[in-house]
Amino acid sequence: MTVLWQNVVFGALIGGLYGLAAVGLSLVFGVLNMLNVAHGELLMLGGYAAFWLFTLFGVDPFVSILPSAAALFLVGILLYRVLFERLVSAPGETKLRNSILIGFGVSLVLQALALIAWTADDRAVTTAAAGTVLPLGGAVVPVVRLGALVVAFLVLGGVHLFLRRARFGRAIRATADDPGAASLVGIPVGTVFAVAFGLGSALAGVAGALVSTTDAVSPAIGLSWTLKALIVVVLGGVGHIFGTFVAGVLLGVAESVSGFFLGNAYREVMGLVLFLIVLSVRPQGLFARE
Amino acid sequence: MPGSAAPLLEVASLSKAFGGLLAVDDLSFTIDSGEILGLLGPNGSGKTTTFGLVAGALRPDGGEIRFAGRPVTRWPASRRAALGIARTFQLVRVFPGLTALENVLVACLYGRRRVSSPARAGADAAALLERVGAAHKRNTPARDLTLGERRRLEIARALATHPRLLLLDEPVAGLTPTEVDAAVALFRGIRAEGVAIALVEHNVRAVRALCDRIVVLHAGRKIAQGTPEDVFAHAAVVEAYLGRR
Amino acid sequence: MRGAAPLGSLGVACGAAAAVLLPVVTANQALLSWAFLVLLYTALAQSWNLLGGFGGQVNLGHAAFFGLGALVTRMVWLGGAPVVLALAAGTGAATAAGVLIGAPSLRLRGPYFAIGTLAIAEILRITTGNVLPDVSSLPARDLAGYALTPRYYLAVFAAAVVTGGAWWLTRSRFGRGLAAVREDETAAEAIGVGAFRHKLGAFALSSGFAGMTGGIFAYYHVSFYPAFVFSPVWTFDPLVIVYLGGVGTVWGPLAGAVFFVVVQEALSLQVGEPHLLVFGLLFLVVVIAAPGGLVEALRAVRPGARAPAHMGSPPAA
Repeated sequence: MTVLWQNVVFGALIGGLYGLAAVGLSLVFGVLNMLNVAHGELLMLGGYAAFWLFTLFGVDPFVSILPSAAALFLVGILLYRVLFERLVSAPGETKLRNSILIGFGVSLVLQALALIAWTADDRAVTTAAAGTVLPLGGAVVPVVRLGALVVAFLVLGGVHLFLRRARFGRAIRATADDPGAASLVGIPVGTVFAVAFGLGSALAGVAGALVSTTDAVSPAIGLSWTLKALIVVVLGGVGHIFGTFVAGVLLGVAESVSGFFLGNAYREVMGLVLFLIVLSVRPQGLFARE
Repeated sequence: MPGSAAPLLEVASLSKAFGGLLAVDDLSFTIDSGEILGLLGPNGSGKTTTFGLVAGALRPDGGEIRFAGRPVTRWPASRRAALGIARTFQLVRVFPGLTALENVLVACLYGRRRVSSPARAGADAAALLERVGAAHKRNTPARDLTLGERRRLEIARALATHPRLLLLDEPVAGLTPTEVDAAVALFRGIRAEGVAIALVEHNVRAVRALCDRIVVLHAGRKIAQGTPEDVFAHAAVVEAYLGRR
Repeated sequence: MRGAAPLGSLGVACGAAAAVLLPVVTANQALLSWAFLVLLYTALAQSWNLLGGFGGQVNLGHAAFFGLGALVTRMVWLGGAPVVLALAAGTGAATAAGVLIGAPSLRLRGPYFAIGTLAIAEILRITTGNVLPDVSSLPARDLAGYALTPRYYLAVFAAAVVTGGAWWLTRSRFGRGLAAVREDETAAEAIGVGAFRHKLGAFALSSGFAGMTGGIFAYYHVSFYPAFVFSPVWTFDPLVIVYLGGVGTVWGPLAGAVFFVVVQEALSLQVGEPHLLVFGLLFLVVVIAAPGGLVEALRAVRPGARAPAHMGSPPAA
C-alpha cells in the first residue's frame, strides 16, 4: 500500500513537469493553430542551459530557469520569424500539416546541433539538496522534485495572470479567438504571434531547467517530451492552463500507478493508450476549442 | 419500363438541424428525369444544405430520400454519385494540384459509368473540357485557373460521372452576361440528354430561362412552388424571398 | 504521354540491369552493402510515399509495420522456414496490421492521424522491448553460410516492386482516385470515390511493403534488439528521404535514398553525426522552398517537362 502511495506521489511530482511542458505547446497551438513538434527539443535546450550554468558557474537550476526562459524566448522568436511565420496566412489544414513538417525539421537540426556541441552523453545536475526528502503520509517526497512542482505551478500561475490581466496578455487571447477581428481593433497581430511563440518556447526552457534537476538531459530526449506534451494537451484541452496542468499531473500518476501494477517498463504505454482512447472517442481531438 | 412513372428523385419530410438551428425543416419535393427544378430562397434558407443532404455530404436528422427507386437516405456520397447524383459546390471545389484534364479524367474513371480504359477516359475527359470551353487549359493545374474556368471545370467533372441528376449550386454567380448565356445554353444541352437538373441560383434571368418548376424555400421550409410564371407572378415571393445578392 | 518517355524507359531499363548485374561484376562487399542500403531505403521510403505522398496522409507510425515485418520474418525464418516463406509471413502480418490499425486511425483528421500513428508505433516499440528484451542473433550455422548476394537480390526485388506500385498509382484508377482524395475528400466523394476505402487501401499497401522491407532487414542483419526495428528512425528516415527526393513522385524515394546513403557514408567518420544536421537543414529547405525535392530540381534542368503533382501547395505565400 505504501509503495502504491509512493508511486502516486512520485507520479504527481513528475506530472507537474508534463503539465508545464504541455502548456507551452498548447499556447502556441491555441494562438497560432500550429503544432510545434520541436517543443521537446526546445525543452532539451533549456535542460542543457541549466546543466552548463550549474557545471560551469555553479548556478542552481532553480535560478537558471530565468536565463533559460529568456534564452528560449529569443530562440522561439527567431524560429518563428525565420520558419513558422510564413505559414500564418495558410488555410487551417495546410498550416497545421506544414507546421508539423517544419517542426520536425527543426527537431532534427536541434538534435544534430546538440549532438555535435555536447555529445550524446546523459547529463544530470546534482545539487546539494538532491538527497533531501520530506515525509508525506508514509511516502517520501524528494525536496527537489517538490520544488520543481511548486515552481511549475507558480510559473503557470504567472502565465495565467499575464494572459488574464496584462494588456498584452489580453491581446494574445483576443488574437487566439479571432486574429482578423483583433487586427481590426488595432492589435499588432504579427507581434502577438511572435511573442506567443516565444512565450511557448520560454515555457519549454523553464520546463527543461526543472527537468535537469531530476532527469537526465541528452540530445535524444526531445521526442518523448513532445509526445508527453501532446498527450497532455489532448487530455486537458486547449486554452485552460490549469486544466492542462491537472491533466499533466493525472498523466504522471496514471503512468506511475500503471508502472506499479504492470511493471515499470509499461509506464509510458499507459499514457499512450489513454491518449489513443481519448482520440478514438473524439476523432477531431480535444484540441477543438469549445 | 421500371421506374418510368415514379419521379427520379423523391425527397420526403427531410429535416436537418445545425446546433439549435433548423436548416431544413420537413421539406418534400420531387424531380423527374429531364426536368430542371429551381430551388429559390434568400441566403440561409436551406438550399445548399438541401443539396448536401441529397448528394450525401450531410446526414439528415429525419425524412427519406429515394433516387431512381432506391432508398439512398443513409448512403455515403460516393455511392450516390455512382448511382447518378452529381453536384457542383457553391464555393468551387476542384482538385487544386491536378491538371484540368486529370480533374475530369478521375471523374470518368469513377462516377456512374466507371470507364475502365484510361485511353477511353482520357478521350472522354478531353471532349468534356472542350464542351465547357476549357480545352485550351487541359494541362494547367486547377489551382491556377480563374474562377470562371474552375466553375466550368467543376461542371465538366460532374458531367464526367454520367449523372442522371445534376445539382448546380449558383453555377453562374459572378459570370458576365455573355458567360451566363453560354452557361444557360450548356445546361439546356445537358437537359436535352435526359439529365435532370436541380438549380440553386439567384440570377433571375437564368432561372426564368431554364427552370420548368420552382420550389421556394424560406427558413428551411417550402413556402411556394409552381412554374416560373406562377412563382414570379407572386409579388410577395419575389420581393421577400428572391434575395438580391 | 511525355516526350521523354522512351528516354525514361531506357534509363529505367539500364538502372535495373545495373542493379541486377552488380553482384556479378563486382565482389566488393562494401560496394554491395552500400547498394543494399540504398535499395532498402528506397523500398522503405517508397512504401511511406504510397500513403504519405500519393495519399496525403502523414503516417508517423511507419516503424510499426517495418518492425512487425522484421520481427515476424525473423521468427519464422529462424524457426526453420525458407526465407521467402518467412518474408511472405512478415509482409502478410504487416498488411493485416495495416488494415487493423489503419481503419480506426484514418478516422482521425490531419495532425491527430499523425500523432495517433506515432503513439501506436511507440506502444509497439516499448512493449516489444519489454516482452523480447534479448538481442536476436543468428545462430552459428546461419552465420557460417551468410552471403550478401541473396540479401541484395531481395532488396532489388523489394525496391522494384514498391517502385512499380508507385508507378501503378500514377496511372491506375485506384491511384487517380487516391489523388482526388488527397486533393479534396468532399469533392472526391461527390464524383464517386470512396475516400475511406482508398485511404485504407493505400494504408494497407504502404504497411505491407514496409513489412516486406523490414523482413529483408531482418534477414540481412546479423544481430539486433527486437525493439530496435520499431524505433522511430524507421519512420523518420524514410520521411526525410521522401521529402528530400520528392514527395508524391515515383523516383523521388530512389533519388532521396541515394543521396541519404551517400551523405551518411561520407560524413560517418566525423564526430557528432553531422549528416543529421545536413538532412535536417535540407529537409527544412525542401519543405519551405522546394516542395518538389531533388526530382523536381533535376526536372527543372530539363526544360519543357511538366512538374509532377506533389502533396499540397508550398507553405510560403
